[in-house]
Amino acid sequence: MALVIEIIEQEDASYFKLYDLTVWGGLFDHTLLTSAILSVEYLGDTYTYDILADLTMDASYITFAGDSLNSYFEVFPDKLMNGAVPLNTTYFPDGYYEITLNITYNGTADSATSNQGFLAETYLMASKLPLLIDPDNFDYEENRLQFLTIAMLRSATWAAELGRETEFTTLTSKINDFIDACSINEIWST
Amino acid sequence: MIWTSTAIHTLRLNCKDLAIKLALVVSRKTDLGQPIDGYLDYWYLICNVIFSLEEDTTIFTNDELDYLYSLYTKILIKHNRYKGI
Repeated sequence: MALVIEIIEQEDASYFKLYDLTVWGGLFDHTLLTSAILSVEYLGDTYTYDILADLTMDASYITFAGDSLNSYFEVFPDKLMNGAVPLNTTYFPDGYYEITLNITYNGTADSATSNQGFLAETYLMASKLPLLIDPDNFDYEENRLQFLTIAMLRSATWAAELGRETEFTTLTSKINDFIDACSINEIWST
Repeated sequence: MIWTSTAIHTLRLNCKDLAIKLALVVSRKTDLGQPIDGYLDYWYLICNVIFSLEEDTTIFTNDELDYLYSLYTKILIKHNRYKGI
């Protein structure tokens, strides 16, 4: 058994979903999970969260996240602490995150890491770009900036997923240039 | 060829790698004020392959995957040959 996790950021950046994709084969026993520490590295600082108490597991759980394969655990930014300092109070700032879950199950330690590019705010800002769509006469050139920005956003997300922080930073910087040029203001980070 | 789920997963990862490379080229060329039209079609094509495979890994037939792989290879070779990045 190898621990496998998946992270999906909520569209409003208020939390991220932590999925357990480990192949437990129907053998998951919540009483054997004795430790579960989530560790998030963001901007050079490490924030941790002991999630075990908040998992509220019972006998119906088939993974640590819930009683179905679609179950997930919600992680809020104010739960992730670096000493006494939370990662943030209400939302996850856009950026590159390295997220690691360390568990002890049946006396054995295991861990899984997921690199993520959280870009919820940038996606929302990009959605405010003027969309010049005439359904009967779609003009590709008119919508050039929108296509460019969306492709750049997705490419930045993939760069983070593959652990390439430098490329992620380069691409997000370019996206911000595009958006700034259209005078679109930040939505929640100001 | 017969495309296994592992081979499809690898193709998706390779396409992501290529999409990142092409995005960096576009980013740099816009910085320099150079034309990017030649790259956009390739970049969007690769992005759309990834979108499709992320949506449904069985969306393409084996023949279609063969064709997409040949396109991926051609774009990668072209990109490397002309030192796009």
